[in-house]
Amino acid sequence: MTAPSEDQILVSAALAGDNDSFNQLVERYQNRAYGLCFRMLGDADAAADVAQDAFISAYRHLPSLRGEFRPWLMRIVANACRDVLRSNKRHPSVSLDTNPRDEDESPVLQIADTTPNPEEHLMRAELHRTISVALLQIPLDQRTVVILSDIEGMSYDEIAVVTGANIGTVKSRLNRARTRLREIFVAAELFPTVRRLIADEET
Amino acid sequence: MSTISHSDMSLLQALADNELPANQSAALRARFVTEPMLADAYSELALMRELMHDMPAARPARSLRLDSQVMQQARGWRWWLISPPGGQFLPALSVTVCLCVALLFGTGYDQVSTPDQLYLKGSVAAPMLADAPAEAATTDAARAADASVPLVAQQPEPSILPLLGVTAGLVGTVGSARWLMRLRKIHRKVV
Repeated sequence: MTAPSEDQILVSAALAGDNDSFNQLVERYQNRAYGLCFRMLGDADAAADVAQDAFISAYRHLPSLRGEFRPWLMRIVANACRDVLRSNKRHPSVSLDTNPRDEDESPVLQIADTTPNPEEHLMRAELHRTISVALLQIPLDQRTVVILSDIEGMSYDEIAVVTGANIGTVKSRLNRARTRLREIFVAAELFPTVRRLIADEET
Repeated sequence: MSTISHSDMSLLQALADNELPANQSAALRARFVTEPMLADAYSELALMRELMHDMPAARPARSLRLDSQVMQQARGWRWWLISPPGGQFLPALSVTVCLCVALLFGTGYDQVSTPDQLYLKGSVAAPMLADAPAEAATTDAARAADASVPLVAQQPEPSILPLLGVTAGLVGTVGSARWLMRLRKIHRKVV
């Protein structure tokens, strides 16, 4: 019998009535949960609300948890995002012409700026913004899979648990998502920009 | 870009994910030399994955911790079953109830009758007495006459209740035992 993971210990403690243990789980996974919501919904406020609701739902159903906590939680989060998108019939479309400064001033993406060159910083911000917008342009099931795989770094097995689909379906959705994203990137002439950025960094 | 077939795109993505067997991987890489479009597509896919992977982590502007009031409200019936005091007493209570059901029905409690019921059963079994006036049935004499009807002659009607009772009791007991074992497992983990 394998030793229980730290997640399992926290889950057990939460089930035994220790509220702080569940909040430790919240702190551990809130960035991932929020990140998935933000990438799927494209709205910072809505993402925070949906992620919060997902944690409440996770707490409510904690006694029914079987298996690992992380994929189970991400499934709840993904389902919550899907429900919101379906109920609101709201697929946000952000124009590619939006001023990149808006993104820079956003409190959502808080990263340490290690690039000394302001122009390089702007280019990176533009890249990330374009990727975020491109993600919102692909179908929901494909978007979920590509976010979990390429941004969150989850394995096919974990994605299958999160999405409730089999591995073959996961691979198929991932293929279609990447093909579509590549088309968008090519249309936005993103690859030459990235190559130029990499070349500048190397020199 | 449009000239790359769907199957080739699938192969390229499998290569980028390190999901391709070594021989297929080598064969595909060999094609890169003769098909520069394929090599470009692979380069773009790899670059795209790298870009996505390097996306900055999104952080919520506020903490998503739950306060104790929200937690209290969020607790559903499953929580009541698993947490004290319900979680402590419910399994024991359910085992007791199930065993009582099994004992009551399993031992043929429904066949045990009071003297009055025996008397009535006897009257039904004896047609002559059943035809007697109702007032007579309440008199001592009638009781004495009725008592003379041999009770051993009365055959209980076959009933599936005992079997149902035993089955329900067993199912309930096994279910409760499983629940108890799960609680013990959780308790052991916590300790």
